[in-house]
Amino acid sequence: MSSVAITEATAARFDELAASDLAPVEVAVIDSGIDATHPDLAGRVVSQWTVEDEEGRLAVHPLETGINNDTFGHGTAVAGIIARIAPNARIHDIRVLDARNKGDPTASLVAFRHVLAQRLRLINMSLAIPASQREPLFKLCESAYQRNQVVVAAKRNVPVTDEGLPAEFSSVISIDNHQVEPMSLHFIEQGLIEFATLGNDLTVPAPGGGYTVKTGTSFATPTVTAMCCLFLGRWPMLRQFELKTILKARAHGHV
Amino acid sequence: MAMDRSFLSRYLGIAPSTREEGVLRLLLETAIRTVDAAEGSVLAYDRDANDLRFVMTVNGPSSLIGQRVPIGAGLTGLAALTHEVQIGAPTFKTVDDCNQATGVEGEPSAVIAAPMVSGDTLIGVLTGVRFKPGYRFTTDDGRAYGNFSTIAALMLDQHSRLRELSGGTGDVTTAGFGPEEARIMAAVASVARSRPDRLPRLAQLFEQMADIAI
Repeated sequence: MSSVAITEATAARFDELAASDLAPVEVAVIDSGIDATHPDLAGRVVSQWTVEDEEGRLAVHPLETGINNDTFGHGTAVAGIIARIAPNARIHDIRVLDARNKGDPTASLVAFRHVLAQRLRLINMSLAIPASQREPLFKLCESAYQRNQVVVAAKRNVPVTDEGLPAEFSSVISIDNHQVEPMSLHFIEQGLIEFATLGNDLTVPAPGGGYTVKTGTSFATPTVTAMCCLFLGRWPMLRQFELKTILKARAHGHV
Repeated sequence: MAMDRSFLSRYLGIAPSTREEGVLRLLLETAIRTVDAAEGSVLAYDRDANDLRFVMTVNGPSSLIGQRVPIGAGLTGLAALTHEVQIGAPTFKTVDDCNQATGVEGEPSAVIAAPMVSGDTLIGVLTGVRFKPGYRFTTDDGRAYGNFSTIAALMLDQHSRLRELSGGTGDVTTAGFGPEEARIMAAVASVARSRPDRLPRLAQLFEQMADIAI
Protein backbone atom coordinates (compact mmCIF):
# COMPACT_ATOMS: atom_id res chain seq x y z
CA MET A 1 0.00 0.00 0.00
CA SER A 2 2.75 2.37 1.00
CA SER A 3 4.69 1.93 -2.25
CA VAL A 4 1.50 2.58 -4.23
CA ALA A 5 0.96 5.75 -2.22
CA ILE A 6 4.52 6.87 -2.92
CA THR A 7 4.11 6.25 -6.64
CA GLU A 8 0.78 8.09 -6.73
CA ALA A 9 2.01 10.97 -4.59
CA THR A 10 5.07 11.35 -6.79
CA ALA A 11 2.90 11.63 -9.89
CA ALA A 12 0.09 13.75 -8.42
CA ARG A 13 -0.49 17.34 -9.48
CA PHE A 14 -0.70 19.68 -6.49
CA ASP A 15 -3.69 21.63 -7.82
CA GLU A 16 -5.62 18.39 -8.41
CA LEU A 17 -4.67 17.11 -4.96
CA ALA A 18 -5.81 20.37 -3.36
CA ALA A 19 -9.16 20.15 -5.16
CA SER A 20 -9.71 16.52 -4.14
CA ASP A 21 -11.27 15.07 -1.01
CA LEU A 22 -8.57 15.26 1.65
CA ALA A 23 -8.45 14.34 5.31
CA PRO A 24 -7.73 17.29 7.60
CA VAL A 25 -4.13 17.52 8.83
CA GLU A 26 -3.08 19.32 12.03
CA VAL A 27 -0.26 21.77 11.25
CA ALA A 28 1.67 23.60 13.97
CA VAL A 29 3.27 26.93 13.10
CA ILE A 30 5.93 27.78 15.71
CA ASP A 31 6.65 31.40 14.89
CA SER A 32 5.84 35.02 15.70
CA GLY A 33 2.12 34.29 16.00
CA ILE A 34 -0.63 34.49 13.37
CA ASP A 35 -3.25 37.11 12.56
CA ALA A 36 -6.24 34.77 12.47
CA THR A 37 -8.52 37.71 11.62
CA HIS A 38 -6.93 38.07 8.18
CA PRO A 39 -9.45 37.14 5.44
CA ASP A 40 -6.99 34.59 3.98
CA LEU A 41 -6.84 32.80 7.34
CA ALA A 42 -10.43 33.15 8.51
CA GLY A 43 -11.58 29.83 9.93
CA ARG A 44 -8.24 28.18 9.18
CA VAL A 45 -6.53 28.73 12.52
CA VAL A 46 -8.00 26.27 15.01
CA SER A 47 -5.95 27.08 18.10
CA GLN A 48 -3.68 29.90 19.26
CA TRP A 49 -1.05 29.82 21.96
CA THR A 50 1.74 31.93 23.32
CA VAL A 51 4.93 31.11 25.18
CA GLU A 52 5.50 33.59 27.95
CA ASP A 53 7.39 34.01 31.13
CA GLU A 54 5.42 32.83 34.14
CA GLU A 55 7.14 33.49 37.47
CA GLY A 56 10.58 33.07 35.98
CA ARG A 57 9.69 30.06 33.86
CA LEU A 58 8.53 29.94 30.23
CA ALA A 59 5.19 28.20 29.70
CA VAL A 60 2.60 27.74 26.94
CA HIS A 61 -0.66 29.62 27.45
CA PRO A 62 -3.85 29.18 25.44
CA LEU A 63 -5.33 32.26 23.79
CA GLU A 64 -8.77 32.95 22.45
CA THR A 65 -8.95 31.52 18.92
CA GLY A 66 -9.51 33.87 15.99
CA ILE A 67 -7.42 36.81 17.19
CA ASN A 68 -4.47 38.75 15.80
CA ASN A 69 -1.57 37.15 17.68
CA ASP A 70 1.23 38.52 15.46
CA THR A 71 3.10 41.80 15.82
CA PHE A 72 5.78 41.00 13.25
CA GLY A 73 3.95 39.47 10.30
CA HIS A 74 6.39 36.57 9.96
CA GLY A 75 4.05 33.85 11.26
CA THR A 76 1.06 35.31 9.41
CA ALA A 77 3.01 35.10 6.16
CA VAL A 78 4.06 31.50 6.89
CA ALA A 79 0.50 30.44 7.79
CA GLY A 80 -0.88 32.26 4.75
CA ILE A 81 1.34 30.23 2.42
CA ILE A 82 0.25 26.95 4.06
CA ALA A 83 -3.45 27.92 4.00
CA ARG A 84 -3.31 28.95 0.33
CA ILE A 85 -1.73 25.71 -0.89
CA ALA A 86 -3.29 23.15 1.46
CA PRO A 87 -7.05 23.56 2.03
CA ASN A 88 -6.97 20.61 4.43
CA ALA A 89 -4.50 22.27 6.85
CA ARG A 90 -5.88 22.92 10.33
CA ILE A 91 -3.41 25.49 11.59
CA HIS A 92 -2.27 25.73 15.21
CA ASP A 93 -0.53 28.99 16.07
CA ILE A 94 2.20 28.89 18.74
CA ARG A 95 3.85 32.26 19.24
CA VAL A 96 7.43 32.14 20.49
CA LEU A 97 8.71 35.49 19.30
CA ASP A 98 7.83 38.60 21.18
CA ALA A 99 9.37 41.21 23.41
CA ARG A 100 8.09 39.56 26.57
CA ASN A 101 10.23 36.46 26.28
CA LYS A 102 13.08 38.50 24.72
CA GLY A 103 13.38 35.88 21.99
CA ASP A 104 14.60 33.42 24.62
CA PRO A 105 15.78 30.42 22.55
CA THR A 106 14.24 28.03 25.06
CA ALA A 107 10.79 29.45 24.15
CA SER A 108 10.93 27.44 20.92
CA LEU A 109 11.75 24.28 22.90
CA VAL A 110 8.77 24.88 25.20
CA ALA A 111 6.57 25.31 22.13
CA PHE A 112 8.07 22.19 20.55
CA ARG A 113 7.24 20.08 23.62
CA HIS A 114 3.70 21.44 23.48
CA VAL A 115 3.13 20.41 19.84
CA LEU A 116 4.67 16.99 20.51
CA ALA A 117 2.28 16.48 23.42
CA GLN A 118 -0.64 17.62 21.27
CA ARG A 119 0.39 15.05 18.62
CA LEU A 120 0.13 17.63 15.85
CA ARG A 121 1.14 15.81 12.66
CA LEU A 122 3.07 18.56 10.84
CA ILE A 123 5.33 21.15 12.45
CA ASN A 124 6.56 24.17 10.51
CA MET A 125 9.74 25.74 11.91
CA SER A 126 10.66 28.78 9.85
CA LEU A 127 12.99 29.80 12.67
CA ALA A 128 16.56 28.84 13.42
CA ILE A 129 17.26 28.09 17.05
CA PRO A 130 20.66 29.08 18.51
CA ALA A 131 23.34 26.39 18.65
CA SER A 132 23.34 26.50 22.46
CA GLN A 133 20.05 24.57 22.30
CA ARG A 134 21.35 21.90 19.91
CA GLU A 135 21.17 18.93 22.29
CA PRO A 136 17.64 19.35 23.68
CA LEU A 137 16.39 20.30 20.22
CA PHE A 138 17.96 17.19 18.69
CA LYS A 139 16.16 14.99 21.23
CA LEU A 140 12.84 16.69 20.54
CA CYS A 141 13.25 16.21 16.78
CA GLU A 142 14.09 12.53 17.34
CA SER A 143 10.94 12.21 19.47
CA ALA A 144 8.90 13.81 16.70
CA TYR A 145 10.35 11.34 14.17
CA GLN A 146 9.56 8.38 16.43
CA ARG A 147 5.98 9.59 16.91
CA ASN A 148 5.56 10.08 13.14
CA GLN A 149 5.24 13.82 13.58
CA VAL A 150 6.88 15.59 10.65
CA VAL A 151 9.07 18.66 11.22
CA VAL A 152 9.77 20.92 8.24
CA ALA A 153 12.55 23.41 9.07
CA ALA A 154 14.20 26.38 7.38
CA LYS A 155 17.90 26.75 6.65
CA ARG A 156 19.45 29.96 7.93
CA ASN A 157 19.44 32.78 5.39
CA VAL A 158 23.05 33.55 6.25
CA PRO A 159 24.71 30.48 7.77
CA VAL A 160 27.74 31.36 9.87
CA THR A 161 28.36 28.68 12.47
CA ASP A 162 25.53 26.36 11.50
CA GLU A 163 23.11 25.84 8.61
CA GLY A 164 20.17 26.36 10.95
CA LEU A 165 18.75 24.28 13.73
CA PRO A 166 16.75 22.08 13.58
CA ALA A 167 17.23 22.10 9.76
CA GLU A 168 20.60 20.34 10.15
CA PHE A 169 19.07 17.23 11.73
CA SER A 170 18.23 14.21 9.58
CA SER A 171 15.04 13.71 11.61
CA VAL A 172 13.51 16.79 9.95
CA ILE A 173 12.81 17.87 6.36
CA SER A 174 15.15 20.80 5.70
CA ILE A 175 14.46 23.60 3.25
CA ASP A 176 16.50 26.25 1.43
CA ASN A 177 15.31 29.06 -0.82
CA HIS A 178 16.22 28.76 -4.52
CA GLN A 179 14.98 30.62 -7.57
CA VAL A 180 12.89 27.79 -9.04
CA GLU A 181 9.39 27.64 -10.52
CA PRO A 182 6.57 27.99 -7.97
CA MET A 183 5.61 24.64 -6.40
CA SER A 184 8.66 22.90 -7.85
CA LEU A 185 11.46 21.38 -5.80
CA HIS A 186 15.20 21.10 -6.03
CA PHE A 187 17.10 18.31 -4.28
CA ILE A 188 20.41 19.56 -2.87
CA GLU A 189 23.00 16.88 -3.58
CA GLN A 190 25.58 17.96 -0.99
CA GLY A 191 25.45 19.19 2.58
CA LEU A 192 22.94 18.90 5.38
CA ILE A 193 20.06 20.76 3.78
CA GLU A 194 17.97 18.51 1.56
CA PHE A 195 15.45 20.46 -0.50
CA ALA A 196 14.93 23.91 -1.95
CA THR A 197 11.88 25.65 -3.29
CA LEU A 198 10.88 29.19 -4.18
CA GLY A 199 11.09 31.67 -1.31
CA ASN A 200 11.62 34.89 -3.28
CA ASP A 201 9.13 37.71 -3.76
CA LEU A 202 6.16 35.79 -2.41
CA THR A 203 2.95 37.77 -1.95
CA VAL A 204 1.66 36.89 1.50
CA PRO A 205 -0.96 38.09 3.99
CA ALA A 206 0.16 40.74 6.47
CA PRO A 207 -1.28 41.40 9.93
CA GLY A 208 -4.14 43.85 9.79
CA GLY A 209 -5.70 42.52 6.60
CA GLY A 210 -3.31 43.59 3.84
CA TYR A 211 -0.62 41.91 1.80
CA THR A 212 3.13 42.23 1.53
CA VAL A 213 6.02 40.58 -0.24
CA LYS A 214 8.44 38.30 1.59
CA THR A 215 11.78 36.76 0.68
CA GLY A 216 13.83 34.15 2.53
CA THR A 217 14.13 30.52 3.55
CA SER A 218 11.38 31.13 6.12
CA PHE A 219 8.88 31.48 3.29
CA ALA A 220 10.15 28.59 1.17
CA THR A 221 9.64 26.24 4.14
CA PRO A 222 5.82 26.54 4.45
CA THR A 223 5.45 25.66 0.77
CA VAL A 224 6.98 22.25 1.52
CA THR A 225 4.93 21.95 4.73
CA ALA A 226 1.83 22.53 2.61
CA MET A 227 2.96 19.96 0.03
CA CYS A 228 3.37 17.41 2.85
CA CYS A 229 -0.05 18.43 4.18
CA LEU A 230 -1.62 17.58 0.81
CA PHE A 231 0.18 14.21 0.69
CA LEU A 232 -0.85 13.34 4.25
CA GLY A 233 -4.42 14.42 3.53
CA ARG A 234 -4.64 11.86 0.75
CA TRP A 235 -2.29 9.20 2.13
CA PRO A 236 -2.34 9.59 5.95
CA MET A 237 -0.20 6.50 6.52
CA LEU A 238 2.89 8.08 4.93
CA ARG A 239 5.88 8.34 7.23
CA GLN A 240 8.53 11.05 7.30
CA PHE A 241 11.13 9.15 5.26
CA GLU A 242 8.45 8.34 2.69
CA LEU A 243 7.59 12.01 2.39
CA LYS A 244 11.30 12.69 1.77
CA THR A 245 11.29 9.95 -0.90
CA ILE A 246 8.32 11.59 -2.63
CA LEU A 247 9.85 15.07 -2.43
CA LYS A 248 13.15 13.79 -3.82
CA ALA A 249 11.46 11.94 -6.69
CA ARG A 250 9.49 15.07 -7.54
CA ALA A 251 12.67 17.16 -7.40
CA HIS A 252 14.22 14.78 -9.92
CA GLY A 253 11.31 15.32 -12.23
CA HIS A 254 9.47 12.05 -11.76
CA VAL A 255 6.12 13.80 -11.85
CA MET B 1 26.97 60.24 7.97
CA ALA B 2 25.55 60.87 11.44
CA MET B 3 26.32 59.21 14.72
CA ASP B 4 26.40 59.86 18.41
CA ARG B 5 29.75 59.14 19.93
CA SER B 6 28.43 58.67 23.45
CA PHE B 7 25.93 56.06 22.21
CA LEU B 8 28.67 54.28 20.28
CA SER B 9 30.72 54.18 23.41
CA ARG B 10 27.90 53.17 25.76
CA TYR B 11 26.20 50.49 23.66
CA LEU B 12 28.91 49.14 21.37
CA GLY B 13 31.91 49.73 23.59
CA ILE B 14 33.91 51.52 20.93
CA ALA B 15 35.64 54.79 21.54
CA PRO B 16 35.15 57.65 19.10
CA SER B 17 37.65 58.22 16.30
CA THR B 18 39.16 54.79 16.75
CA ARG B 19 39.78 52.15 14.12
CA GLU B 20 36.69 50.28 15.32
CA GLU B 21 34.44 53.23 14.72
CA GLY B 22 36.00 53.74 11.28
CA VAL B 23 35.65 50.07 10.37
CA LEU B 24 32.00 50.03 11.43
CA ARG B 25 31.30 53.09 9.30
CA LEU B 26 33.15 51.60 6.32
CA LEU B 27 31.25 48.33 6.67
CA LEU B 28 27.93 50.15 6.71
CA GLU B 29 28.86 52.34 3.74
CA THR B 30 30.07 49.33 1.76
CA ALA B 31 27.00 47.29 2.67
CA ILE B 32 24.72 50.08 1.46
CA ARG B 33 26.63 50.39 -1.81
CA THR B 34 26.68 46.62 -2.33
CA VAL B 35 22.90 46.24 -2.14
CA ASP B 36 22.19 49.63 -3.71
CA ALA B 37 20.31 50.93 -0.68
CA ALA B 38 19.55 54.63 -0.36
CA GLU B 39 20.45 54.76 3.30
CA GLY B 40 21.50 52.57 6.16
CA SER B 41 21.98 52.58 9.88
CA VAL B 42 23.49 50.80 12.84
CA LEU B 43 21.22 50.08 15.79
CA ALA B 44 22.76 48.93 19.05
CA TYR B 45 21.00 46.59 21.45
CA ASP B 46 20.30 48.20 24.81
CA ARG B 47 20.24 45.22 27.17
CA ASP B 48 18.77 47.15 30.11
CA ALA B 49 15.86 48.60 28.17
CA ASN B 50 15.54 45.52 25.90
CA ASP B 51 15.25 47.66 22.80
CA LEU B 52 17.37 48.94 19.94
CA ARG B 53 18.84 52.40 19.56
CA PHE B 54 20.08 54.18 16.42
CA VAL B 55 23.78 54.98 16.88
CA MET B 56 24.95 55.62 13.30
CA THR B 57 23.26 56.45 10.00
CA VAL B 58 24.64 56.87 6.51
CA ASN B 59 22.61 59.10 4.11
CA GLY B 60 19.77 59.02 6.64
CA PRO B 61 18.41 61.83 8.81
CA SER B 62 20.59 62.64 11.80
CA SER B 63 17.39 63.03 13.85
CA LEU B 64 17.24 59.22 13.96
CA ILE B 65 20.29 59.06 16.20
CA GLY B 66 19.32 58.12 19.72
CA GLN B 67 15.79 57.07 18.77
CA ARG B 68 14.62 53.83 20.31
CA VAL B 69 13.11 50.97 18.31
CA PRO B 70 11.04 48.44 20.25
CA ILE B 71 12.22 44.88 19.92
CA GLY B 72 8.65 43.55 19.90
CA ALA B 73 7.68 44.91 16.50
CA GLY B 74 8.91 45.65 13.01
CA LEU B 75 11.49 44.09 10.77
CA THR B 76 14.42 45.34 12.84
CA GLY B 77 12.95 43.85 16.01
CA LEU B 78 12.31 40.59 14.18
CA ALA B 79 15.92 40.43 12.99
CA ALA B 80 17.04 41.07 16.57
CA LEU B 81 14.83 38.33 18.03
CA THR B 82 15.41 35.69 15.35
CA HIS B 83 19.13 36.46 14.82
CA GLU B 84 18.28 36.14 11.12
CA VAL B 85 18.49 38.52 8.17
CA GLN B 86 15.02 39.83 7.37
CA ILE B 87 13.88 41.35 4.09
CA GLY B 88 10.68 43.37 4.07
CA ALA B 89 8.39 45.35 1.81
CA PRO B 90 5.44 47.67 2.49
CA THR B 91 1.95 46.35 3.14
CA PHE B 92 -0.76 46.93 0.53
CA LYS B 93 -4.52 46.54 0.79
CA THR B 94 -4.91 43.99 -2.00
CA VAL B 95 -2.85 41.29 -3.69
CA ASP B 96 -3.00 43.23 -6.99
CA ASP B 97 -1.64 46.41 -5.38
CA CYS B 98 1.04 44.30 -3.76
CA ASN B 99 2.08 42.67 -7.03
CA GLN B 100 2.09 46.00 -8.86
CA ALA B 101 4.10 47.47 -5.98
CA THR B 102 2.61 50.92 -6.39
CA GLY B 103 4.58 52.69 -3.71
CA VAL B 104 4.23 56.09 -2.14
CA GLU B 105 6.98 58.54 -3.04
CA GLY B 106 9.28 59.08 -0.07
CA GLU B 107 8.10 55.97 1.74
CA PRO B 108 10.44 52.97 1.98
CA SER B 109 9.85 50.42 -0.78
CA ALA B 110 12.13 47.82 0.78
CA VAL B 111 13.94 47.28 4.06
CA ILE B 112 16.69 44.89 5.01
CA ALA B 113 17.73 44.15 8.60
CA ALA B 114 20.76 42.04 9.44
CA PRO B 115 21.54 41.20 13.06
CA MET B 116 25.00 41.56 14.55
CA VAL B 117 25.34 38.49 16.75
CA SER B 118 28.20 36.99 18.72
CA GLY B 119 27.44 33.41 19.72
CA ASP B 120 23.91 33.68 21.09
CA THR B 121 24.37 37.32 22.10
CA LEU B 122 22.77 40.14 20.17
CA ILE B 123 24.98 43.20 19.64
CA GLY B 124 22.76 45.20 17.29
CA VAL B 125 21.27 45.36 13.81
CA LEU B 126 22.43 46.82 10.47
CA THR B 127 19.61 48.15 8.32
CA GLY B 128 19.32 49.30 4.73
CA VAL B 129 16.40 51.07 3.05
CA ARG B 130 15.30 51.69 -0.54
CA PHE B 131 12.69 54.22 -1.62
CA LYS B 132 12.06 53.47 -5.32
CA PRO B 133 8.57 51.92 -5.67
CA GLY B 134 8.72 48.23 -6.56
CA TYR B 135 12.46 48.07 -5.98
CA ARG B 136 12.85 45.20 -3.51
CA PHE B 137 15.81 43.50 -1.90
CA THR B 138 16.73 40.02 -3.12
CA THR B 139 18.04 36.92 -1.37
CA ASP B 140 21.53 37.84 -2.60
CA ASP B 141 21.16 41.29 -1.04
CA GLY B 142 20.16 39.58 2.19
CA ARG B 143 23.22 37.36 2.12
CA ALA B 144 25.50 40.30 1.37
CA TYR B 145 24.07 42.41 4.19
CA GLY B 146 24.25 39.40 6.49
CA ASN B 147 27.92 38.98 5.64
CA PHE B 148 28.65 42.60 6.51
CA SER B 149 26.76 42.35 9.79
CA THR B 150 28.69 39.17 10.63
CA ILE B 151 32.00 40.95 10.11
CA ALA B 152 30.80 43.95 12.13
CA ALA B 153 29.75 41.66 14.98
CA LEU B 154 33.07 39.83 14.89
CA MET B 155 35.00 43.09 14.98
CA LEU B 156 32.96 44.45 17.91
CA ASP B 157 33.21 41.13 19.76
CA GLN B 158 36.98 40.97 19.31
CA HIS B 159 37.30 44.56 20.47
CA SER B 160 35.22 43.81 23.54
CA ARG B 161 37.38 40.77 24.36
CA LEU B 162 40.55 42.82 23.97
CA ARG B 163 39.15 45.42 26.34
CA GLU B 164 38.37 42.73 28.88
CA LEU B 165 41.87 41.30 28.57
CA SER B 166 43.41 44.71 29.09
CA GLY B 167 41.51 45.18 32.33
CA GLY B 168 38.20 46.45 31.00
CA THR B 169 39.13 50.09 31.56
CA GLY B 170 37.72 51.19 28.26
CA ASP B 171 40.89 53.18 27.60
CA VAL B 172 41.94 53.64 24.03
CA THR B 173 44.80 51.28 23.38
CA THR B 174 48.13 52.99 22.85
CA ALA B 175 50.04 49.88 21.86
CA GLY B 176 52.43 50.59 19.03
CA PHE B 177 52.50 54.34 19.67
CA GLY B 178 55.31 56.47 20.96
CA PRO B 179 55.02 58.35 24.31
CA GLU B 180 53.80 61.63 22.74
CA GLU B 181 51.18 59.86 20.64
CA ALA B 182 50.09 57.88 23.70
CA ARG B 183 49.64 61.14 25.65
CA ILE B 184 47.44 62.58 22.91
CA MET B 185 45.40 59.37 22.68
CA ALA B 186 44.94 59.26 26.44
CA ALA B 187 43.78 62.90 26.48
CA VAL B 188 41.25 62.23 23.71
CA ALA B 189 40.02 59.10 25.50
CA SER B 190 39.57 61.12 28.67
CA VAL B 191 37.39 63.69 26.87
CA ALA B 192 35.44 60.89 25.17
CA ARG B 193 34.68 59.39 28.56
CA SER B 194 33.79 62.53 30.45
CA ARG B 195 32.47 64.98 27.85
CA PRO B 196 31.69 63.24 24.56
CA ASP B 197 29.71 66.32 23.46
CA ARG B 198 33.01 68.24 23.24
CA LEU B 199 34.56 65.80 20.78
CA PRO B 200 33.44 67.49 17.54
CA ARG B 201 35.05 70.75 18.69
CA LEU B 202 38.17 68.89 19.79
CA ALA B 203 38.39 67.18 16.40
CA GLN B 204 38.15 70.57 14.73
CA LEU B 205 40.97 71.93 16.87
CA PHE B 206 43.14 68.91 16.15
CA GLU B 207 42.62 69.34 12.41
CA GLN B 208 43.59 73.03 12.63
CA MET B 209 46.66 72.18 14.71
CA ALA B 210 47.62 69.43 12.29
CA ASP B 211 47.37 71.92 9.41
CA ILE B 212 49.73 74.29 11.25
CA ALA B 213 52.13 71.52 12.25
CA ILE B 214 52.36 70.12 8.76
